[in-house]
Amino acid sequence: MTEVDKTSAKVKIERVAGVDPITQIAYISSDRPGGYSQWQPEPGKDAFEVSAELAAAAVESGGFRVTEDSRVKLKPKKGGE
Amino acid sequence: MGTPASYKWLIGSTKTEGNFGVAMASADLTDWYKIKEADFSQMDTTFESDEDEINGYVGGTLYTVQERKGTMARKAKASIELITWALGEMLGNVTSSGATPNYTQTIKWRNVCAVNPPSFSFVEGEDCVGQTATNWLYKGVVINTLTLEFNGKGPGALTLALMHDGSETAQPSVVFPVPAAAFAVNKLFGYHLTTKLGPLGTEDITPLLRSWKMTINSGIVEPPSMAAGVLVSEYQYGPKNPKIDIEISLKANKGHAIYGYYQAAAPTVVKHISALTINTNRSITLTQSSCIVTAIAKPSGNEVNLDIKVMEQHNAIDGGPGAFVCKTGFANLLQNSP
Repeated sequence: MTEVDKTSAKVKIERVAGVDPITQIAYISSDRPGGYSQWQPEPGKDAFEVSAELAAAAVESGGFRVTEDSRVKLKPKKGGE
Repeated sequence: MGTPASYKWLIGSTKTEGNFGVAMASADLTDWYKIKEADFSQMDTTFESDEDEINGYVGGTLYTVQERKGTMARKAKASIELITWALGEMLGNVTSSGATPNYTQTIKWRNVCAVNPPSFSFVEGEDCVGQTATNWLYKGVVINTLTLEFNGKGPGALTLALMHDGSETAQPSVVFPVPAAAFAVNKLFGYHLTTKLGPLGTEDITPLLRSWKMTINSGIVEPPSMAAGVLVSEYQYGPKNPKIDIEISLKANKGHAIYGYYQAAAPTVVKHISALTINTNRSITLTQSSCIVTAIAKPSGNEVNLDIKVMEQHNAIDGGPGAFVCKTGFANLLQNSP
């Protein structure tokens, strides 16, 4: 499973084909401590460069994945898997 | 002259305040949802007096406004649109997907790091000739409790308890929609409800339902604040809130399996799914993947009823005690305004 490197400033994500297009994602952002920030991805656009915080929420939604060149620093799983 | 029957209120179904207490743009406050009572917004003022000082008189004499805040209620016939809006404004954790005209909002419990619920603004007034001075804007509004209740086949009753930041701003130029232009909603009736409750989550108890009630409480608190001015500067979720309670009355007795779930030495963990469905594209489904029930048998006319309470159990599947999937015409909720 792809994990987002939350230390990265910007992460490239792309829409996952075959699922309902995501139109809104709520995420916790350092810009708005204590509350949710809302992101409405531009309809019809498939690739985005977003903050690591948003990328994590986008991937969790199931509607996005991290693009190959942003798929960095995967955390090693316990037990050496 | 204005009348209670002329009372209207306007919200923005898909909008929210970008920052607490900063009023939404008037252009975004255009959706009139019909409600059942003219519950005028109340302003509560805390006065500080000098009655605890020796002031030359007996009792208090000087009053200073220390703080202002406000409350109001909204009682409406349940609809998919108003419930979805309210759930979004309460929980904030919304993921939307889909394409015109059918969208899905997945609304989950607030993240453990979320402290402040979303806030919104609205306008209310008496829509009669010459009564523009009754039109006021309220801001910094949060939803404290949501109650949704169905009894038999009748229309669902939605009750919201709201709190605002204590300000009232005149809006004489607002134009309320004419009756035919009320926001179009899909009203929900008791016969739209299906409920499954059991270890598998497939045990359909719909044919036995007598009543169903959901209460979500955000336990809103106002932390002590020294921010400038007398208005509320912040509302927060209460500790360990929001909470959800489900109360179901069922045509069943102590012989029913649900009583056994409660009676067992180690109470059975069950799954609860309640769906309000108008059609495949307009529905609200609550899933509680893990919960415990209590059951009390009582007479009701000529039958025995089980009064069931579903006790929330936070779990990883739902990301909280439950998750809502709302199928609506809203492309997204909670867009910042202005």
